[in-house]
Amino acid sequence: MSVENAPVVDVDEAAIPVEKKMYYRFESNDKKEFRVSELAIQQSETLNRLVEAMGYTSEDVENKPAIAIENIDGKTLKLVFQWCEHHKGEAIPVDDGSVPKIVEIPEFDAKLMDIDNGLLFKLIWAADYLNIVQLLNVSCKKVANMAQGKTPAQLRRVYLLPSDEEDEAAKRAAQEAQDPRAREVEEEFEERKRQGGNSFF
Amino acid sequence: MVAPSFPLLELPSDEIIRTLRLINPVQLLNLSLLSKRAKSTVISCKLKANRIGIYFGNEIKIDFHFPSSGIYLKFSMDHGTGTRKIIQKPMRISYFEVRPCGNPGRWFRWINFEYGLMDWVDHFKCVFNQKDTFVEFGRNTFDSNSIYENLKDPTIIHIGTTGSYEFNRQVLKSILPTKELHLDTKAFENWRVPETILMQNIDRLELNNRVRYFKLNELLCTNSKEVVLYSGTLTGKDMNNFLKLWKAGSNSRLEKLFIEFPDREIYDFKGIDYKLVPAEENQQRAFKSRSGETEFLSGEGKDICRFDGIRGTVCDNDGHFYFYVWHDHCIG
Repeated sequence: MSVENAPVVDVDEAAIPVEKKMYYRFESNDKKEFRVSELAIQQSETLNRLVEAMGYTSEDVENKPAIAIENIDGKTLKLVFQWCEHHKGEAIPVDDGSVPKIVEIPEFDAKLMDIDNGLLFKLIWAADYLNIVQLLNVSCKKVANMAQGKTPAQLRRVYLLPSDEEDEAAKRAAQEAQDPRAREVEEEFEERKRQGGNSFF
Repeated sequence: MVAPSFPLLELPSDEIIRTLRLINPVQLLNLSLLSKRAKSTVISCKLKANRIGIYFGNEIKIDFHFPSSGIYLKFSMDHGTGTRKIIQKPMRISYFEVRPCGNPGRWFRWINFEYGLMDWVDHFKCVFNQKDTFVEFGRNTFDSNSIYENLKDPTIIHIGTTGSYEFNRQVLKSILPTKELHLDTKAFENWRVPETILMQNIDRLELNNRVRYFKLNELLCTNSKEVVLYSGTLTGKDMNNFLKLWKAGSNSRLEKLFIEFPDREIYDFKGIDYKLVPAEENQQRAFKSRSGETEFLSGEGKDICRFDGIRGTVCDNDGHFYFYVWHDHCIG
């Protein structure tokens, strides 16, 4: 039967059940609460698994306490959820392993990430914890763009890259902090070596 | 104004790698030179260059190619004023990114008094996950002993017109590639490639630029798995004789032979037993090359059999001679 010949049936739109959108409540480590749609949550693999495992109904969402995200502050979480709401329903990109990887930053994301580097740093840590692949792609792209046109010396300053000597010093300091006797043993060893001893023991 | 900084190495390790994968190769090279830790971080993002090309001419140049860009480097050194140019530690390395649109990016200059040429090549191999080096020699090049001391196991060597038969002879005496040798026959006296080179155990031997002197005897001397000849002086009769000798056991390592004939040669298979394979059937046959790539045969084929049962197929495509040997590992 063709579409043209199909019988016309009057439909009472009010009678069609409308699926109610569910909004989950999340709380940052500084006690700021956010309401986030179920579809937006799907951008985060971590949160999506969490809410699936919790199996909350609409009533539970309202009556139970907000889900605590203890290692992300309110300012960062606000950016994360703004990004998720804007990109809700979009496919999650699959990594093809290409290097260099091509990523474009959309206008919305560029505006959202017009923030200081401290907050961008926190945003990447949050996106990593919540496993939001595309947010990681665009935020890391913003960091990658900082390298454009820079000389090696400028790159060292921009990315705060320590020299080998600084890395060695930091490693030694970390070891000493872990084991205060390590330095004494090392000094004793060096002293014996100077004295021509073959064995430390 | 001081540019804002970002503590890249304090990100989660997965995100450091993600960021590096978004940075262009020339900046990754810059990063890799800053510290041991930065170098190992760059290596972990697994950027792979298609190949590393090293050119010894008036000066030393190195280039890398990536799917959508490349890096071009020039090494400046004080190599003395005598007739023998000796490779010294480079005083300065200038480099820039070759972009897909053709316009070069910004020039960078790196000054490092610690690294010698070999250290630099090792650094590039490591950072760009590529072991293969393609070495090419040009005019007014460096002393061959000095090159030998600074070059470790090149994968491919190309000798073109260096302007010195003696240099070419010397360099091939001391350095041989592990995989491929590309020779311009003009590089040798009387345009004749010495037999001592032809008989080397190199995987692929390519002779180009109008091979003037290359007869059946030279072909029988070759010991490579793949032999490619452009514009040879071989005749149809030579090819008939070659096939007869191959059947009797000559060139036992040979897997593929390609000869480009300037004029259409007739190899009539006189005195050779063969089985004709129609084009429809022949074109279904896949040959697995040395590099692992699969090649489908073209046109009709003529199958011949060696004394030990190994089959070979001759295909004639546009007058060019293709010969495939079906060792077990060559069946695709």
